[in-house]
Parts: sequence; structure tokens; C-alpha cells
Amino acid sequence: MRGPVVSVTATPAITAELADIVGAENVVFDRAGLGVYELDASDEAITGIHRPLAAVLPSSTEQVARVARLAAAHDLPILARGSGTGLAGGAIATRGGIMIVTARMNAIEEVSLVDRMAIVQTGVINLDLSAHLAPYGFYYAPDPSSQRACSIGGNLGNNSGGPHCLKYGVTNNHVLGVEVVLPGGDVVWFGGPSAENPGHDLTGVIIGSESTLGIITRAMVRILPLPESKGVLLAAFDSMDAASRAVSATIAAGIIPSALEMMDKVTISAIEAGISAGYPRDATAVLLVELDGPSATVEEERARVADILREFGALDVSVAETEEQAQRLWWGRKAAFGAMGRIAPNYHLTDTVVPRSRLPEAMRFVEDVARDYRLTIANVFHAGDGNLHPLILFDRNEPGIMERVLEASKILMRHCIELGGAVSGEHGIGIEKNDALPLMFGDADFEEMAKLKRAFDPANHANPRKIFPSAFDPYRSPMSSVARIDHR
Amino acid sequence: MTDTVAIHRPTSVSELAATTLSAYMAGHRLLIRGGGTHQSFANAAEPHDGIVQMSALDAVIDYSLVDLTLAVQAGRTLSAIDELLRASGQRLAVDAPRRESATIGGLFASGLSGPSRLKYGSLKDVVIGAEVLNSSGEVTKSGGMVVKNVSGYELARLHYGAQGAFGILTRLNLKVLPLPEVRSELQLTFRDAAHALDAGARIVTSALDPTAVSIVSGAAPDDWTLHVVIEGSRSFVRSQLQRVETVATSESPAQEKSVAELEGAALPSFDAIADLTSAQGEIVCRLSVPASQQANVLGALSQSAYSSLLADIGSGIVYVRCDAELEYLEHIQSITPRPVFLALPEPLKSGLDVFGGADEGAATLLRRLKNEYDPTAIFNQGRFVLGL
Repeated sequence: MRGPVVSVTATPAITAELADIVGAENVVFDRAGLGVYELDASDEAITGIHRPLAAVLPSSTEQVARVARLAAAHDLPILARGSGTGLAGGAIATRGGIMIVTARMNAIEEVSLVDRMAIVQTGVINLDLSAHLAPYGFYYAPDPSSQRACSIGGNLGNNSGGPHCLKYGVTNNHVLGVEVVLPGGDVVWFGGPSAENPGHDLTGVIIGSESTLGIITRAMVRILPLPESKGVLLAAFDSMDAASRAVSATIAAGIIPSALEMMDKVTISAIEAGISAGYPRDATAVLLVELDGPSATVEEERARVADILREFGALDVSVAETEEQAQRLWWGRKAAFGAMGRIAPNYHLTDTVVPRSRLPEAMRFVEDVARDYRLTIANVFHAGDGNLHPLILFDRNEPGIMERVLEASKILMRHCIELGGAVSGEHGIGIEKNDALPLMFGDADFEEMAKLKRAFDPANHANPRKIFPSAFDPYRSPMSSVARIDHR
Repeated sequence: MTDTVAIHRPTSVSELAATTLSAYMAGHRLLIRGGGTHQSFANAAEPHDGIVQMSALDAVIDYSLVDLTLAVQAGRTLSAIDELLRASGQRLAVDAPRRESATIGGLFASGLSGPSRLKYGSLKDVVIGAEVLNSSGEVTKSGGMVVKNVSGYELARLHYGAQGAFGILTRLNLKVLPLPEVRSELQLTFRDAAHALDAGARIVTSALDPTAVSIVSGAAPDDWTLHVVIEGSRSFVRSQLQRVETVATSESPAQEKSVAELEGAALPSFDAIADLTSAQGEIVCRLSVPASQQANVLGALSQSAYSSLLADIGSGIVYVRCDAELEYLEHIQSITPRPVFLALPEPLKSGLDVFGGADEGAATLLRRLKNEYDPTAIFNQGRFVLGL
């Protein structure tokens, strides 16, 4: 389903007003310039190509607020875009309007180690923050795979994850406060440097809202001391089932690894053909386990994990003895997506999640789907969180393939929800998965979400048509039969 | 308004839904109660027609040992949760005084956790899904039973600390953790607050792995004790305690030292100051003060103006307890913007927003939220920020 290319162009009056706010060099409104803002990293076969009326690159909250006011005055949608690495179409201008690109809002404004807090503009690149903190022995824990490119603002919008969520939680667990430009241009702060703010604290609801409630311009994020030591193990298994059971056994033994990643045979072959990371080519599955913390604890847990993995059928367990060896073991995992190009020119990633205990069933189902739909599916994912990432490998030029790929992806997601899971683990809803949400929720649940949307954005200016299923209009308010009390 | 206040003690969510629906239709106001441990907190409720006592809605709905997830009804007490989990070697890593009475729903609606949030996060961080009864009596859900879940707005967070203003929590899905082999607390007494705070600051900026770091006032004016909680395996706790002491005393020596093992889920120093049921005739208040500002605030706070004080270095929060005198109340208000009064006896409470109000932009938003979620004002009217 390819979306229409919106052909509306900005009027000279609007572009002049935008130029007045951010400077003419920071307004993009010509067809060629807007090309880059028509898509993000989602699959255009699903999300389509949508051109905004204009893209602006502000440098301050004040400029964002002025753009929001201007948009409201002209009844135009606004939406935020960080680096455009989103996989669910959250940063695509489905209804045109003004795209606010945060790339120039990239200042790390304050770091306080004793408060374990940093204040950043939301255009800061995720990895840049950790690199900035490293000399002080600190880091920012959420680390999506795209962390070299993705922005903190994009992470906040999608409540992003990464390999280290098992122990450290998702983005929402690392944000203390946010500055938000509301639709209409008012600027508000939620939260603050304290870990908890009784009274009102709407930080938690705006994380993951994909700029449908407002645009986050600054964030006060939690930073952590770098762990003293890390331990990395790689275990080879002769079945995905055995590897999946070993995952649960490790956690059931009271050990919470900082990362627990699984890769299947297809992935191992791709990695070894690509970069020769030294993964066992004959294995059907490998588990990469990372432990972190004080040195003595890491050493003790590393030995216990190695025992558990062997007990649960690991054919071989490699333990990194040096930092270099540890990096080498991670290298394969990090290169996995890039290595898929050796197998097929295109891939479609399904981000879905199941309770960890249901992993063996979920993995068997993935195998069944691959066979039934005659598709090659690679699995490289965050096993510790139960967060699957089946990668369907294909060649877009093969006639009829796209339908098969999307059908298989839908079936996988549906099955994971039946197993007690969710439509997405960490990539967002956007316009890729909004129509899958009814698999989890009913109209009363969507209406609860709609109340939030209407309270924040009464005129539906903030990233319209995202998150909510297309058949559900959050502004079709069910009129109450009871007299409403106006809380003034 | 009716003359008598009806007491409802629903034993099922459908019964609660029926009660809510009839209140909605009749325009009656309901006051929702958990264990009553935080009743003194929040603004005074407006007159109401019924009280909904949540204590019978205390069932365990789903517990997966392997997935480290637990779903319970909101009226379940923390000690009942502790007991269930302990039998399987697990626990809910959230501090709260009066665990035998405090309900998980009540604690969530109060938005209060304790110093262990340094390591484990707040209660809001361990909730992965919720079921809420809305003002028209419908059961609604958000989130789920998986630890990573992006599926629409994180609506559970709207209800954290919202004093029930937007709906009645009926179920919470929680992340749980393995029970540590040992919980120990190191106490080091320093010659003044500044030295104790410095010692704490060195610990939170090191690669040590403490659960909680705070300082507590003592009986004598200059008597300040640093409390550091360490949890984990016996060998981990032993080595960390030793290292914490070395780091804490590297600049100035401690006058006294003691180590105690903590029992069950208790955190005595925090429980003592945060237990609002024991605050008869006292003010208990909570100031948002980042660790870097705590020395200034403690310096500005007249020592005669509090009977006990706990500065949670790890979370940036200062708790103060004092006699219920107007001059103390005003003194506290003059030192930090927007102190939150957890316990404030009448007549000091009347006319005051115990949350300290809200900025204009946030206030507008909060009113719109109340209009959307509780248009007929049936839930806990008056208790939330701005008297919403």
C-alpha cells in the first residue's frame, strides 16, 4: 500500500515566515531539498512516501515554539524528525505540514555527575552523549543499534530500547524530565532533576508518543557510572530450542545479564561469510551473554553462567579473557544486519516481543512461517527481553515477493501477541503498526489514549494519523450524556 | 450530594464497574481508598457520596517466575506481594513504609517510592502495564506483560502520582527481581552534614554498586549519618561494604561505624521518616533537591525547624519532619520552590495546595486532562494538584 505523494507546496508567505524564525538557510521547501525528508528508515512499501510542506532546522526551543505557533495559525500539522532512522514511519509527514528537524539542536547543555543527570537538546546523537561522558567515567544507558546515528529525541519519541534493556530498562526509565513545545506553541517542563516528582509528572506519558502530543526540545536524562568490569561469553547450541531454554535458565538462576543476544544459523553464516568474527559455523544457534558490574561479581557470575549454558546443552562456550576478545565477540553481533546483504539484497525486520518463557514456541513458529511462505528468515535478537527481530530476507525484484513478506510478518506478529506479547518491542508504532494495535486493544482502550491526545492537542496538529488505528478517529469524541464539569 | 456516605467494598472489578457507572449516572462523587497509609497526603477531598474501599480486590492474576513478571489487583498489600514472591526467591524492589497495610495501587497513585530507586528505579519504572476503570465504568488496559513494550501511549504513567484523579487502578503488571542473598546497611557518622554529603557524593559518582545512599540527621545537631544499602550475594556485599567505607572515608574519617543486615523488605531509616500514619500533629514534607544542591538547602534550613531529616543523595530528594507550626511551614516554603507536603495537619492544610500548584502551561494541561478523563468529577475530587 503505497501512500500518495503530497504535491502541495508551501506558499511564499509561509516560507518567508519560517525563514524569519529560523533563517532562510534553515528552511527547506523545494522539491529536491525535501526529497530526503519524504522517508525515514521504515519500509516504503508499507509507509509510503510523503512530502512535508516544508522542513525547518531550528536551533532553539524558542524557534520551535514560534514554528508551532505559526503552524497552528495556518492550521498546518507539525512533526519532529531526529535523524530519520525510525523504522515505523513515525517521522513521515503523512499529512504534509511542517517538519521540525532537530539536527541543529545538538547541545549537551549540562552534566552533573553527582546528580547523575545531563541536560541535552533533543537533537544530540545518542552515542555522542556517551562519548561526551566517557572521560568522566559515565554513560547514557539506552543504546539502540542505530546509536551512532539516531538522536535522543527520536529515542524519546519511540521509547527506544537496545541490547542492554534487560538489566537497565528502556528509554522511559532513563528520563527525569522533558521540556515540551505543545501544539500551539506553549512551552512546558515536566519532571525535574529528582528521580520522582509527586504531583504531576507527565514525562512518562510523553515518552513513546512519537511527537503526537508535542515536540520534546530538551531532556534531563539519567546518566550512570560506567561499570567497573564487563564479562562476555559466547555459547554455541545445536538447536534454537536449547538456546532459548538456556536464556530462561540463566535468568531463573537469579542472574540478570546486561545483554543476552541470540543469533541463528542463517545469521551466523552471514556474519562469518562477511567478517569472520570467529563464530562457530556449525552451530544452529549462538548466545552472546554480557555481564557487567564490580570485577569480582562479574568473574563469579561469568563462571556460573558458563556452567548453566553447558548444563542446558551448549556445545561450546567461549569466554572472553581480554577486552579485545570481548569486542571481537560483540563484533559479529553488531555486524549482523550489514552482513545480511550477502544473502539477499533486501530485508524486512519484524520487531515483536513475547514473554521470555514463550521464546522456544515463538522460534519454532518463525521456522514454520519461513517454510510455509518459502522465505529465508534470519534471527538476531534480544533474547533476554523476549524481543524478537525476525529478518525476512528477499529480493524486491522477485514478482509477488512483497505480498508474501508482509503477510509472513503480520502472521509472526499476530502469533507473538497470542503468546502474550506485544506488537512492538522498541521500534515504535507510527504508521507501520497502528493497524496492528487492535490485536492488543479494544475501542475503550483507544478512547483512553484519545483522551490524552485531545487534552494535549485539541486541534490535532501534532503528527496526525500516527499511532491510532486508521479506523479509529481520536477526535470523534463520544458525547457524554452527563453534564460535564469544567475544571477551571 | 446525598446526606450519607455509602461504603463500597467491591469484591470484583465488575462490581466496582457497576458502582462507578451508577455514580457516573447519578453525578455522585467517590473517594477511592487503598490501605489508608497515604490518606494524609494530597489535598483535602471535596465532600463525597461514597467511599470505595479497594482492599478486597487483592488477587494475584498472573505470576511468571521465569519471566520475572507479576500481575496483581491494585488492592493487594505490599507485604502480601512480598510474601508471594519471597516463596519463589523473588521480590518487588520498591521501598514503602507500612507494607502490611499499603496497597500497590495506593502507592502507585501516591507516586512515592524510596531511596532504593537509585538502583532499581521507582515504582513507575517497574510497572509494565495497567488496568484502569474509567469514569464511565469501563475497564481499560494499557501496556502488557512483557518487559519491553511499545504499543501506544504509556497510559499507566498518567496515573502515577495522580491521586486517582483520572481513573481507578484495578490491576498493575510489574517487573520483579531475584531476591538478594543479603541486604546490608552501612552507617557512618560524620562530624557534620557537609562531610556526610561529600562522602555520599563520592559513592554515587564511583563505579560502586549501592542500592541506596542517603544521610540522616541524628539526635545531636551535628550528628549526621551516611546510610549506604548494599544488596546481593554475600561475597558481593562483603566486598562492596569494604570499598564503600574506603571511598566514603577517603577525605575525612567517620566518627562511628556500624553495619546491620536489613530484614525482609524494610528500610528502617526511610520508613521512619516516610511513615505518614505516625505523623500525628507533625508536618512531613518532601523537597526536590538534587544532590549537588543538598548542602545549600541543609545549610539554609534552620535546625530548630525540623525534628528529623533524610537527604536521599541518590534520588535528589530531601524529607523533613517537624512540628506542625506555621513558622516552620513558611520557613520550608522560603527555602525551596514547591515543597510537597506529605502530611500537614489542619488548619495548616486549608487553603494550601500541598503539591505547590503548577506552572501556567502545565496547569492548563492538567485541567484539560481532568476534563477528558473525569468530566463529571466523580473520582477523588479535590485531592490532586490544583484541587482537581
